[in-house]
Amino acid sequence: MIILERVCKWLPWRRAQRTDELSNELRTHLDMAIADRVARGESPESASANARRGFGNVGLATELARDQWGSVDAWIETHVARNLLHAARRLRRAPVFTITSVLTLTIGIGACALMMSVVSTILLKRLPYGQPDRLEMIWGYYPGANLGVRERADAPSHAHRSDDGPPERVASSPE
Amino acid sequence: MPNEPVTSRLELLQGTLDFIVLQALRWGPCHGYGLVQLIRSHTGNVLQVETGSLYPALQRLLRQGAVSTEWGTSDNDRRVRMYRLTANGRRRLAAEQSRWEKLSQAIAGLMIPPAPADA
Repeated sequence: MIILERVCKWLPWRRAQRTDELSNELRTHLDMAIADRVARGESPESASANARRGFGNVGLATELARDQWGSVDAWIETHVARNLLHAARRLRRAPVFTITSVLTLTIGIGACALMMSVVSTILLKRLPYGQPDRLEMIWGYYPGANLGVRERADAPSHAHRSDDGPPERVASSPE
Repeated sequence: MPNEPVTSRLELLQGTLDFIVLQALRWGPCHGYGLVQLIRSHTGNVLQVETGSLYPALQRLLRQGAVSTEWGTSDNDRRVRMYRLTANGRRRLAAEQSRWEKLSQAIAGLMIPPAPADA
């Protein structure tokens, strides 16, 4: 909001500065023309009058030159910045609507991001082992063993099936 | 479009002025007043560029990147804006130069007096 207001103030200021530079430039031009005429022997008064006549309308010349600026900043000023500022003001005037919309968007985007990260980790990404398609899960179950042992025995352990030799144990749940 | 002829005529005039200004800047960096003097003296006082057209042309060339500016001081210690031809401007000048040469040759061809029918 504050940044937007600054941009809206800064753009016309920048334009005014450029206009200032331009009219300074044109005034210098006129001064040089007068000086040249005086140097050629005209009286200062007639030099000034003649130079002004030759120069034409200073304001109009400035205006015409300014028209060439392509007015990108003028366009941003009138269309983008002003509309954004207007939208921001409207939102501030209706705080309940603003808060509801912001919350809806926040929760919606958050839920989507969460869902996507779960799906990506579980379903889409490869397991962080070499040859994950050859991974087996082995369950041990010992009937009659006491509870403490059974809990340990039920813990899944992952093993790698290799073509020759015994299976290789790569990871297991904490013991 | 009803005003199309006017627009194209304006574009032709603008193109001519831009070309003249770029040509004048070949002599080195120059300020606006200097450009008017230079163009007048190099065309034998024939071409008098109006300020109301020159400064728009300069702003247009600036925007197109054909010239660059910096603030400097003139011979008699005035703070002036100096215009300088950029590499882009030189390329454009080279391209337009051949176009203008073709055009002026074409017009010169038209201006040859017709041979008398029965000499």
